[in-house]
Amino acid sequence: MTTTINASTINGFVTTADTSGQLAIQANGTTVATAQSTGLNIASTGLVFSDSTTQTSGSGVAKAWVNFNGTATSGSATIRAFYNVSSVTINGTGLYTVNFTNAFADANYTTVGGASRYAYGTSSYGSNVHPENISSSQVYLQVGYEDTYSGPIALNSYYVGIAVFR
Amino acid sequence: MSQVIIYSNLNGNVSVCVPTGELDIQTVLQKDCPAGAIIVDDATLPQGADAQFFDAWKLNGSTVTVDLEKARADKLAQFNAAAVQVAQKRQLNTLAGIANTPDDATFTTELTAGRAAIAAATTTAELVAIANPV
Repeated sequence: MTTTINASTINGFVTTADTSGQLAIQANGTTVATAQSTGLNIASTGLVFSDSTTQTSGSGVAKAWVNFNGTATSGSATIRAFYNVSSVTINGTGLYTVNFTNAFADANYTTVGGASRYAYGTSSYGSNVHPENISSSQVYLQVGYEDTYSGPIALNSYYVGIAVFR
Repeated sequence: MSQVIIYSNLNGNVSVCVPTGELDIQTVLQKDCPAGAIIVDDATLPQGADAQFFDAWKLNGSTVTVDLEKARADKLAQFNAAAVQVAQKRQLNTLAGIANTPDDATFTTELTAGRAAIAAATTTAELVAIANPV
């Protein structure tokens, strides 16, 4: 049992109470979140931001992220998982563009990312992901590392990951 | 069969835009790609050894080909970068009194042979088969 707060389309504000120590928030009978001693559980519908087109609320969570294979140009082989990313463009060795499904209100977001140095199984060091040419709808990435003797070296990385916060 | 969007980019190379599937490919074409971009089956893109010379890809109409001269130049740049790293390591070995293997004369011969092989390569498969100095 759970104490509930329900916004009913028939009866309006409806509550029930018990001694379970749990509180369910319902939208017309469907539980969207439950508060309990272990924390707040969000239903499978997830968090829905009120401004999905501008992505300006919920600053504590990533508004876009993608994990892709920078060595492949096949759709099925390239993008492993993503959120709010419509496409990844491979422009050259170590040069990628991540395009957002829903653009940000501006380009003042921050990115975090990482990449493997070589193809899977032969990696020795990680690579850097440098965001450049940031706009509200896409971010351009350069992946590579700084070699002591040869200077900056771009490379195609088997694992490239980036997350965007705003 | 997956589809991707291709176009010639400002560097004169080919950009390959891979949709995630969150939006249909026509929408991605309009939203994420410049005018002139086209949708193709990814199986039509260069495969195998040709795929390893992405920076040498050229778009001719709706067909992507590999510019072998550019592929040779890219391979030579990789080869030389690797050679510089190995040479630096060998120099440090010498300063530290550690013998280099192979000896300097053999190493130099290998570098010369590698560069000659790159210059003579007539296919990307031949270029791939030429090992960089290690």
